[in-house]
Amino acid sequence: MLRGGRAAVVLAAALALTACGGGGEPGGGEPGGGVYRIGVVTSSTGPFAANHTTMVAGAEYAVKVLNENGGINGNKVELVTVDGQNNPTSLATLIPQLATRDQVYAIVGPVDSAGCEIACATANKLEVPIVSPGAGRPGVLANSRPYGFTLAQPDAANSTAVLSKAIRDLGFTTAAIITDEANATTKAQADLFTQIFADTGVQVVQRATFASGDSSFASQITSIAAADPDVLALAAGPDDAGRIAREARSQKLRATFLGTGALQSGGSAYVAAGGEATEGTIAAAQYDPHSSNPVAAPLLEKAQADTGQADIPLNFAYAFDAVNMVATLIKEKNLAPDGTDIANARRQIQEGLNAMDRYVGMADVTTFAEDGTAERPQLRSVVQGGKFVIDKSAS
Amino acid sequence: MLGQQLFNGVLLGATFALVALGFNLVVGAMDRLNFALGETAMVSAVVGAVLMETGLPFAVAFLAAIATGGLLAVIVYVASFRYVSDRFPTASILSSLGMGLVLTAVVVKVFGSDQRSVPDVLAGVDLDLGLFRVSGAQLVIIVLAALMTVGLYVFLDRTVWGTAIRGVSDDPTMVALLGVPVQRVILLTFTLSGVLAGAAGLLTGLAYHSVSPFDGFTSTLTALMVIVLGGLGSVTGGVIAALVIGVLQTLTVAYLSATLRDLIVFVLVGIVLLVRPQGLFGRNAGVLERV
Repeated sequence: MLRGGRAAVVLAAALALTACGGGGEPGGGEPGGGVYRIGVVTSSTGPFAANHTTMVAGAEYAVKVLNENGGINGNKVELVTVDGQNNPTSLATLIPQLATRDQVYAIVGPVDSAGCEIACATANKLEVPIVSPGAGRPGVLANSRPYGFTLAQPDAANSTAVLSKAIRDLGFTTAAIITDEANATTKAQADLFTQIFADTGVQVVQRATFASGDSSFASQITSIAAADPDVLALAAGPDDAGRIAREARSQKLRATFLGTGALQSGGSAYVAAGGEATEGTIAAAQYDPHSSNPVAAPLLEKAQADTGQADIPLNFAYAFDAVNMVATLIKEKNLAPDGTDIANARRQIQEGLNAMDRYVGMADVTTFAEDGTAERPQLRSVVQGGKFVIDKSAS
Repeated sequence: MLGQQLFNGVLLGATFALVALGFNLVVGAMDRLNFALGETAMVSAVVGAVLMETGLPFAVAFLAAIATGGLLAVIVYVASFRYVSDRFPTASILSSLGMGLVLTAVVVKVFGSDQRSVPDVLAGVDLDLGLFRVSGAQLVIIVLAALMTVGLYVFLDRTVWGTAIRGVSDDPTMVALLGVPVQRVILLTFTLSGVLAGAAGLLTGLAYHSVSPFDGFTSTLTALMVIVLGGLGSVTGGVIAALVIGVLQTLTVAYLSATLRDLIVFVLVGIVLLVRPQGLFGRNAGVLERV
């Protein structure tokens, strides 16, 4: 029912749910006293532990705002949070637990692609809608449709147009690519850069590789510095990319650093690792923490005021939106609380998510593509003053 | 570019050498490997990095790092070696491995599991020496590593306590009969090994721009490769092997592939073990060569 650009319907529902109250309104399940449970899959260990902490905070904040405004038709929303501890076996056990014991209407998380591949596929088998607030690896939902979704747009779809335009705007003619060749995601990023450089007529003058866990980048940067490229494409995780940036500047390499959207989403880790060396880095982006969208802006400002954060992180906003998407559909489809007819409720939420078109929330506008990944705004970001900011003049 | 890559390799090897020398000291004194030495280096580096982040000068952080290394080595000695019976040589190995895990866990608990950035030193310095350039941080690393290596050699060769360490390494029963306080000498040996590991930890962090709580075991593995190649207990062999491995790793990354870096070193070490099991400068070396 949401396809066809009916953003106004979603917008009105979102505002009603998150800002304008809604307790006691007619329609939609029991008129109060019940509970809608939403599962949250986090991971307290592993490389994305910090992202998961941010995601949980966003989901908890969404539920807090929802319940402060009367819940869904007077029924409370509860989160059931489980910790997969970055362990596939744990995820394979916890998802069925959420589905059967906890009777959740939908699941939010995990944020990472590796975790989502397992959790989303398991949830899909159990026919429980699951929305990842961050998984962006190509094909991450291949075994998770039609119940699996991610709010992140894969790099190839989001970054190609942004980076191609940046290259043309800034007149780069030569490039080097440094790749973590022990990681599937970063190898895909390297392929993406190669294609972008080919399409824009940029000559790749040097390629260097490293393996996840390597500590020294001196050798690679020495090779790259000898080729003196205009731009250095970072096909690396944010921590490694930051240390590459520091090594590059320490060897007086003046090339501009270029990253995909993944670099911007891990921006704080990148800047923390690279310090001042990261200034001027250009990356694609799909989320603006200071969006001027008339729906997103007030939600972001309220979240900033409520949480004391100057910039609302991507995973926080995505988790907030994921919870509100589910809540919006529960309200719209008059689903009963307390797990009543739960299988039918989950099916209706899944159908609603698949039909969702231009949902407007804290993370601006989201539409799910047929493969369950999100179509997101295509933005250019640049590191200024120690953080990624959206270059609104270029986007 | 080759000149710069060779210098990068020497720099890498210099940091390997320090922690490998620390291993060799303990091997010489007790014929045991202290598997917590890599974690000792890591903790020292974290302490140094934290102090530098607070704005203290590098010299203070460096002194704190080597003090931390020395202190931790003494603790490891007491916990894993001093009271472990000689009849069970593997017990101290397992115990020191356990101490390494404890040190990692404590750092993760106190400072978190994220990599910690190590601030630059002498950021404005950039020496162009023709064949290669040297940054301020690289200058600090190479000078301090050289000073500590030469200092260790002089200490072992020219001082009474150094002679005692070499004596204990050579025949602890005999030197005990001659009145040398063997336990105090071993304690000094562990302290020195910790000091070297502490220095290696912070200098490595400076070279890599960061330190991770999980760097410890990697350092231990690298040091093992160095001492196997150079020969257990040999100071000169350890330094030469460290430089060879550092240069080899650097050139592999530069001209072949990053994923072949460790493989080539392991193959080299395997060949040395087959052809010369005692290492390039191992047990056949003279007493001065053995610690």
